[in-house]
Amino acid sequence: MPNYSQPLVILELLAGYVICGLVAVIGFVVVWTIVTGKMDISTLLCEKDETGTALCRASMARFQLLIFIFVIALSFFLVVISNIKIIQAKPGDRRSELPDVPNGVLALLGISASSYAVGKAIQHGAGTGPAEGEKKTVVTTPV
Amino acid sequence: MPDLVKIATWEAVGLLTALSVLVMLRLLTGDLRTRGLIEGTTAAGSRFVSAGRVQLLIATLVVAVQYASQAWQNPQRLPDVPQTWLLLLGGSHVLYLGSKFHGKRNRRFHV
Repeated sequence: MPNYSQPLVILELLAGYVICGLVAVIGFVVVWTIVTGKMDISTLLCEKDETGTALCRASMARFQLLIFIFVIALSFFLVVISNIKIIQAKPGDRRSELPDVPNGVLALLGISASSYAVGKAIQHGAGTGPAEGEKKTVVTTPV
Repeated sequence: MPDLVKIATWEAVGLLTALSVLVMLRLLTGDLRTRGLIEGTTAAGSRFVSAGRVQLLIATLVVAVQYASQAWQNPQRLPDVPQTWLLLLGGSHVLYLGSKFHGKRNRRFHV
């Protein structure tokens, strides 16, 4: 372990407390605005219904992203806590660093997010021509 | 002075728990709208249970539960997602998007 000078250690601790305080305030504000209803999350999963029969229809892609992000965030947090406990039990045994995110996890999130984008493109008509059996009508205007 | 690591840990626990509980409660009470999650709509406007959406929902839940259990069993490092699970999820997405594209192209249904 390298030996840092006393002012550097104090500065490091101070920065840590400031960041902790800042994150706590932002987190509290976000949670509070959701609880009081100022931040409306009721339409978090909604997508536009093309037929106009309903104002909100839950989007499968949004739901999937929500589930995956929660599961991966909680797993990441679990790994960080576990590593901190190991480092505290055996100091110097392992370097304190954030865990690597495996390629499989990135691929999982990539599949989910790109499916959302492709779904949106299909919904808004990209790549869809006239319906089968529908005749093309050419409108000509006299010059 | 309180331990910085303990403060950060409890802060993260509190924030993640609060957000998870809020979203879960709203999902259960219906404040977070999930109407139509597994439904499609025909051109006439009537609703039907979409097989594409149901299979994607099942694939999502299976992969999420499998990943969470892996992380819980071995919390030393973030578990990787096996190739077979990625293929399963990719295939499920192809089915869902294929049915969405088919319905849109023929203007018969919307999923």
